[in-house]
Amino acid sequence: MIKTAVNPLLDKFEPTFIITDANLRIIEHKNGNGTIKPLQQWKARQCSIFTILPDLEHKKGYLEKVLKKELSRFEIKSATLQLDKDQKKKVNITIMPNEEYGNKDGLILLVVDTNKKTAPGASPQTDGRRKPATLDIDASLCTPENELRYFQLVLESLPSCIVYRNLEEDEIFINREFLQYFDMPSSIVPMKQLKKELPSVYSELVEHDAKLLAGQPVHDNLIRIETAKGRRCFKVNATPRSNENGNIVGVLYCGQDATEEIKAKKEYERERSFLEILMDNVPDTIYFKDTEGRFIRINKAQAKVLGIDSPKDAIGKTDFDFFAPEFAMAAFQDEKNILKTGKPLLGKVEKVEKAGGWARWFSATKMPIFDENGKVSGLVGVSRDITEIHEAKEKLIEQNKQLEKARAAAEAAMKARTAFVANMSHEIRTPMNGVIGMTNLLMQTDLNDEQKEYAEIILNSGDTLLTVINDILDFSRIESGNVQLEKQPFNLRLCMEECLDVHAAAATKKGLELAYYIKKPCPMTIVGDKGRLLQILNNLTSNAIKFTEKGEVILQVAAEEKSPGNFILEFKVKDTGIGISEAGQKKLFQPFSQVDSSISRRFGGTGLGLVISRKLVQLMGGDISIASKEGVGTTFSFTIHAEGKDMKEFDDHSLLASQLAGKSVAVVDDNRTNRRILSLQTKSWGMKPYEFEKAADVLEVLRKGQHFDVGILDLLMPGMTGIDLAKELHKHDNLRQIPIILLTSVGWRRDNVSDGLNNIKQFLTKPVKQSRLFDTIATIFSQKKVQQVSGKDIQAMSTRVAENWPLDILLAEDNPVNQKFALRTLEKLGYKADLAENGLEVLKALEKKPYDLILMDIQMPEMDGVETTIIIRSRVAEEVRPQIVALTAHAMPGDREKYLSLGLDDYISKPIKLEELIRVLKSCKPKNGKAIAGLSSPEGGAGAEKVQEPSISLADLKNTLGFGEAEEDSFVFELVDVYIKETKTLLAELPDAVKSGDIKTVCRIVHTLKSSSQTIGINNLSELADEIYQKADQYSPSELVNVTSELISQTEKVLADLQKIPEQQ
Amino acid sequence: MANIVVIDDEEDIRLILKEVLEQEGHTVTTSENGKELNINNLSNFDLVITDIFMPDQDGMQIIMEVKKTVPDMKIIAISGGAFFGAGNTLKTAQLLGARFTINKPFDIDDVVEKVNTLVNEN
Repeated sequence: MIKTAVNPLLDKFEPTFIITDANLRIIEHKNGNGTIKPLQQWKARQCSIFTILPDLEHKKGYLEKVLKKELSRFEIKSATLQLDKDQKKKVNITIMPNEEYGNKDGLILLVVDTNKKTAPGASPQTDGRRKPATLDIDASLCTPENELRYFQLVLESLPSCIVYRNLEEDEIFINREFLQYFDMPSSIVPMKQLKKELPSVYSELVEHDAKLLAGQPVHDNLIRIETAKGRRCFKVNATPRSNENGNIVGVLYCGQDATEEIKAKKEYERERSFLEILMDNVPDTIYFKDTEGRFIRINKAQAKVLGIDSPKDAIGKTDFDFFAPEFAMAAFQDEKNILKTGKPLLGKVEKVEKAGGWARWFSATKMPIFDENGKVSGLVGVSRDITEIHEAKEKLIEQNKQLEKARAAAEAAMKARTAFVANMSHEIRTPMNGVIGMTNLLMQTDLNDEQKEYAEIILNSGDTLLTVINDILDFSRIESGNVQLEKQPFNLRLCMEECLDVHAAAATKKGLELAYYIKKPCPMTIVGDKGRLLQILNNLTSNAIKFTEKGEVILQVAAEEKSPGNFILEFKVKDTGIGISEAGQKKLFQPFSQVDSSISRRFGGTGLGLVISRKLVQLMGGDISIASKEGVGTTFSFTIHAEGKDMKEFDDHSLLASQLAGKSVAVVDDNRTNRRILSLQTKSWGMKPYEFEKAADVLEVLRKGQHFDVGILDLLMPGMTGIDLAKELHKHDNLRQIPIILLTSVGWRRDNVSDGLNNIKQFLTKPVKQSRLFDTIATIFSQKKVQQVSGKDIQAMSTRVAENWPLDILLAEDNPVNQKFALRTLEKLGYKADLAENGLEVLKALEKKPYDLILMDIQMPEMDGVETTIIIRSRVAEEVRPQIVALTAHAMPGDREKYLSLGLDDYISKPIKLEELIRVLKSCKPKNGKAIAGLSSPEGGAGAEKVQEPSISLADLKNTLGFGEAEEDSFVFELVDVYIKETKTLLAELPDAVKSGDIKTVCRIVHTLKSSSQTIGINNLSELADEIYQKADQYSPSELVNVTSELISQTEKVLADLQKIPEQQ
Repeated sequence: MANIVVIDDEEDIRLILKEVLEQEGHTVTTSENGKELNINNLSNFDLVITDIFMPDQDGMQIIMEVKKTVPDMKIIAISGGAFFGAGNTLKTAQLLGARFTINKPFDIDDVVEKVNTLVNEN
């Protein structure tokens, strides 16, 4: 009999084994002593365990638990074993999970006859805990073989590592669990073999032999051995076994692989120490709290704050134990919130207070801690002491407040001061005007020389004082916000010219060139305060002239469209004056400081002009800046925001530009900028400028055979003057006909030197106005045409028309050439029309005479045709109102309707066609009510406007141009020639522009082609060109290529036809 | 009957004068600072009534310029007196061309009388 103190399972008994699968079917059996016979059949039938042990049905729950290994053992006493239908037996059953046979997922049942006294255990176990059951052992059943077998079963099932050392046999038995660690074929290994093959294991086993062989167990021994699973650590209990004689016959070693456990412990220790180091070395306070707000753990820093020696002393306590109750309450609320919502508190700035006045500022971050179920189980807080930073911030805020107050006070004081001055303005100014006025009166009385002198001095001082006062007042009014800018439309070019007019004399006196240039595209009508803009321009220009001894002063403006109709205009006033130093530039815009007192003494002036200008510019939404180099010159630039309209893309006047197109012009001026401006201007009209610095150069070139259509000569040039050149040209037959325009300066008097020089067509005063120059050149080229309007056929439409149909006609037209043409045409019909150059003049004229008909050009300066019409319609009674007919260069479908809707009665397109004119005249009723019998209208004379036939005849051309058949053809040829030349050039440029996607150039080309074609009367071409012009930016690249190719081919056809014209005669 | 322009920075004055003079049958144009007057339209008027002390344009200057442009224009000057003392303001205005002067606060009958005197002169 084997006695053991440790394992009750070693008690002997004689079981029958039944092994089931996971579904409780019998799959195997092992007989004990053969007392249960039908096992064979049961196995064969794979019947359910419940079939043979029906009592188990009631214990299904426990069976499940054993299957799931939640219960390691389960016993039933006196269960019924159904041997077969009739035979039953009472048995005791021990049920265990099968961990040895087959799939190891079912049960092992040890079944013992109750008649034999071998029932293990007393009652079924219900709570899964291993209770060491005491066993009654029947010694007679304990045969050595049974014992060993059972022993083996148990050993194999245990999760522990078991080694039984049989001292007598000097061999060991290793259980399956332990065997996994070694590569041993069998579980029984002789010690000799063990020593050889697993020396480390051997040495561990025999390590404590001294004690063991003396009968002393060795518990909790930690051994380390190399195994197939690597180096492992086992916790071993070694128990010696003695026989009945008391001799030690064996040692039972029970061990657990403690490697993982030891590793885990080490890791844990390491992490712990990291945490310790971290927590205690971080200067921020760290604390862990539970869900009740009690400290679980804190670091040294927090301990310091709390005022305790050791962090441990805080455990279990709360904020309320350390801090002032208000703070503790607030913190508690925060923490409650965190615990409830699971949302962290980040970076909250709070004032931590303790009783007794201690207070510091912290930035606190508190985060919830979650357990493995995701529930909040506490929180961790980290707070940083930011007291110093906080205090510094507070100080800064306070300082800023003070500064702000001081600044506001200073500003208010300043404003009050200037407001005072502004409000007192009339008090200051009026007496001054009184003084000046009276002094003027005084000077008109009889004074002796002495008195005159005194009076003059008084006057001068008064003027100066008045200027100072006005400037100061203007400045203060702007400063205190009392100035409102006007918003009225005005013409930009006229404004610039006005500015130049004011300074022309001063510039000439100093020998300076004065000019202006408007960069296209630019809106010609600006909505704003013209007076104030002029004030700025005048100020800058007068400064420029003041500080320039030689060279030039140029005004320039360029526009940028910010949004439809809204522009930023940049004005520049450039001079070649003495310049301003860097330091001076800084002082420039400060009130009451002029650059250098010596300069101020030299040039005079109050120094407020620039300041006012800047204020005004700022009111206009822009700013002013300066670029200057001493000794080289200065450029003042300023921008303003304004609405604008009437864009001028390029300077063309449609009808007449075609006549300038392609004409070569010699620009002769010693001043480079002037040459440039003239070149740019003439180029924009389609002309070909050639620049010459000296008159001699022109002569040189002319001698070599070059030809010019017109010459623009500066009069005052060093060396050969403009007049000298004109004289020289006049001498030569072939050069005499070159028309010349001479540019003179203000104050220059024309003497008889130039008499007889009939090649000089016009003298223009500088600064030359663009419009004047254009008109002059255009007139030069169209003079011939106007003179030639006379002819046999026109006789047919004689002055009889006017006789039969008398009308008072007013022509409103600003362009001199158009004026001539229209007046002439009317003369032919016998009408002596009056002339008005703009809307205002029309209104004035209307007041003096009740006209029957007004031929109103739409585009006029000052007040345009539409506006005038509206005013007339509103002011003049219906019965006496004249017929108003629009003259317009645009002839597009929808125009008639447009003008009619605007209040005009009719419209004629320019150039005026005779029959159109007659039609319009017919529609007017003369005021005197004379009845008219029919107009002997020579409809045949001018001919109806025919749709252009594919091939163009000379007759047709003359028709279109309004010439009679008897008209000289030479002019027609000339016109055609120009057209052909010009158009050829345009066509050459077009493909490249299209290819490179240069829409702007394409538009320019197409537009020019349209208007010149229109003049010649080639309407299909002009319409086609116009269509392209209107739709230019809507085309896709391929569409553009198509339409322009079409245009080119049409144009070439026309050109081919035109070239045949001279042959038609 | 007459075409009168009234220049005064105070709206009340402008309204009063306009009312009163229109009741007399005159056509009255008012202006806050006289800026609308220029060479072209000045000759349309028969009489100019202007305040002297105004923030925008000086009344004294207006008188001088009107005289320069239309020498025989009839002018009446109004003055409310100055902060620093009127001095000889009204006298100066007269010498410079104002036919009559009126002190503020004025008597309406007085104004009407002076206006009618001037207007009926030819």
